[in-house]
Amino acid sequence: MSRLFSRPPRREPVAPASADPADFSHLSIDLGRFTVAEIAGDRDLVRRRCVRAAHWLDGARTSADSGESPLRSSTCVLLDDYPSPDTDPATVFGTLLAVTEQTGLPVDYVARTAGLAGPAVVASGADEEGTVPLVAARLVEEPAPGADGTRPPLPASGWLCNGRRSPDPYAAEAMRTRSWAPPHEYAAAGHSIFLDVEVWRDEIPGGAEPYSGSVFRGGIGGGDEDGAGISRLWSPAILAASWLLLRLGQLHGIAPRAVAPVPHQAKTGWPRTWDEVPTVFKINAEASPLAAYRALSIAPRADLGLEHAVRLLLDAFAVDPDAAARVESRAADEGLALEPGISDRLSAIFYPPET
Amino acid sequence: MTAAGRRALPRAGAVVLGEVTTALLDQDLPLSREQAEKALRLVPGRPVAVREHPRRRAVSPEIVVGVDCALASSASGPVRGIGSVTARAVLTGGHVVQGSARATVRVEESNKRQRWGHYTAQPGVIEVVDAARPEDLVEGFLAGEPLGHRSLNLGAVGTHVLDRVGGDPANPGARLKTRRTSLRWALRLIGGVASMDVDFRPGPDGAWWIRVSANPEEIGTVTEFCEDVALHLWLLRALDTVCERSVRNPGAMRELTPALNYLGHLWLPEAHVKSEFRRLWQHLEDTAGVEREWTVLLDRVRDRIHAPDLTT
Repeated sequence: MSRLFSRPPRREPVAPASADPADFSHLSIDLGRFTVAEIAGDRDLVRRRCVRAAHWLDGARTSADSGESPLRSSTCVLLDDYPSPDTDPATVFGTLLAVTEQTGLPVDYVARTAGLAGPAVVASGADEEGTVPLVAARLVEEPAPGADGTRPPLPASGWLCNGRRSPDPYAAEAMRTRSWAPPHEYAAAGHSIFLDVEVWRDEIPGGAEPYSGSVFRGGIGGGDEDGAGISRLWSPAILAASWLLLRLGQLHGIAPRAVAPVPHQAKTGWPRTWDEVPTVFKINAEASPLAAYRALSIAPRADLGLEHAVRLLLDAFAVDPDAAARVESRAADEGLALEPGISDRLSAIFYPPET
Repeated sequence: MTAAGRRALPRAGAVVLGEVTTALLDQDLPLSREQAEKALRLVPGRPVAVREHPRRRAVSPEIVVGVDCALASSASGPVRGIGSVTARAVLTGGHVVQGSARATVRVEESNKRQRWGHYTAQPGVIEVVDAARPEDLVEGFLAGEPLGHRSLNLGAVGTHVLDRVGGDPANPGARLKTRRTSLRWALRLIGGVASMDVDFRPGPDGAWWIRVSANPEEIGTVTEFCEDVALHLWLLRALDTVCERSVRNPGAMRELTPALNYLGHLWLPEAHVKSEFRRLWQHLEDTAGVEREWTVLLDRVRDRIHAPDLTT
């Protein structure tokens, strides 16, 4: 090999950093998702939901405990402040944690959807790309039978589905073809449960349609919109899916460093502006790690549709082999065999609406 | 080996199918390192890998494309494969761009399509749900699809990636016309054997293909080796074509100097290839004498530039 040149550092893929088993909890439990407006305006609703979640938490932990080694689990709440909150963060955090404490619901981490959507706030003040666009860029459309690569992935409309859409009856009528055909779920063994999920919506100031006809701006890759003034509004499903992927350790080496949990210092109090609130706040200094082998949601029954959508997005997410291997090898060190499909590591408990 | 390496490695008995499409970037000046990094940033959040020496080679992050289609098999009829293909763009010397697509094909016991999450958990893997022998898939792929039959089209995926690499709009276009070429390759994964075996053949349409057997750990190296061979076969073809054109059409003489400027310094076989693969290059040289051909061609182009009336 020639030594004539002093080689600049080569940008090779980074070898996965050796992880400690203690880098992962066994289970990450999502206690619920609250909007800033709910916390600020309807304290009673938040309280009732916390009471319900607390009922199920012990059972969830007990059922996850293998009994062989002490269960490491952490809990989290997703705070919906996307796209922009207009309430004082100190009031929101103060109220939320007062309610959870009264109801006996231990909260280890609080994440903000606006922080996940990015641009994430970095300690240095520099902007980095948000986590959600990076997740959206790795979504792979489910191929129709016969898809052989000839027709490259179309610039997407911001929607992702699990099968073949039903044709638009009006368009079909105009073309004098059969007016309707059923949609079809590709993986269905018999009958279909077809699902079409909105991943994002592009909005132009003034309310004009962001696209006309079949010409769409942006792609599933996202982040490449060059139309001035167009803002991409991420859906609750992709926000929740990104949060899950983060908690399942699948974004290691992908997500910006700014999403690493930041411990809350009780003596400094709560931040006064949202710009100062980290994307993931570690509330309990003693908490088990945020990242976990498996994840559980305890949610009101109204979130059933969201959960289905999140599962579809997780199924469309092309895993990063390094990140996936890091989690699997640590689990294997503890004698745990994880499900190969990421969405198979999820479970959920839905509680009925309060009477 | 790292945990990631272990997970990424398919079992022996699988095959890797690949196709590389090579073209000249439509730019008069080669892209700088910064321009190349920008042009190849196909997936946000993933780095563009750049090597500077002995010549600049920049590789984009991989994109993933889902497929559910027929795979050609030389023994039986086509078989059904479901999964995904990965593709990346490679820019050499800031001027020659390649779209390189590949898929690892495994024969599975399952006989039906799984939920999509099963396939996205292993990007770049296609599972064959019908009975098939790996060697038949290799032969079927290299032979190309018979007329009227469509099967896995890696070339289209590679071309799609290639087309996404744009130049700098402020830069004038290339002063040389070249054609795209494509090269198919197939790697038979063999367990526990370090030795490699290679076979180069020109196909019926004059396009070359490569057949290699190697250890699963060598997938990345084999991919790079095939991209390197595709680059050199394209260089040869491009220079040969422009030289021939200038003989027939004096108007094409003005392409000779740009051809020499763009391409003359890019011939560096084995530049980025691991030492074990030098032997494979030697095999290509013994089979086709490409290095000698290039030297002769380069002399001929220089002669035509300096003394156009004396040479034909």
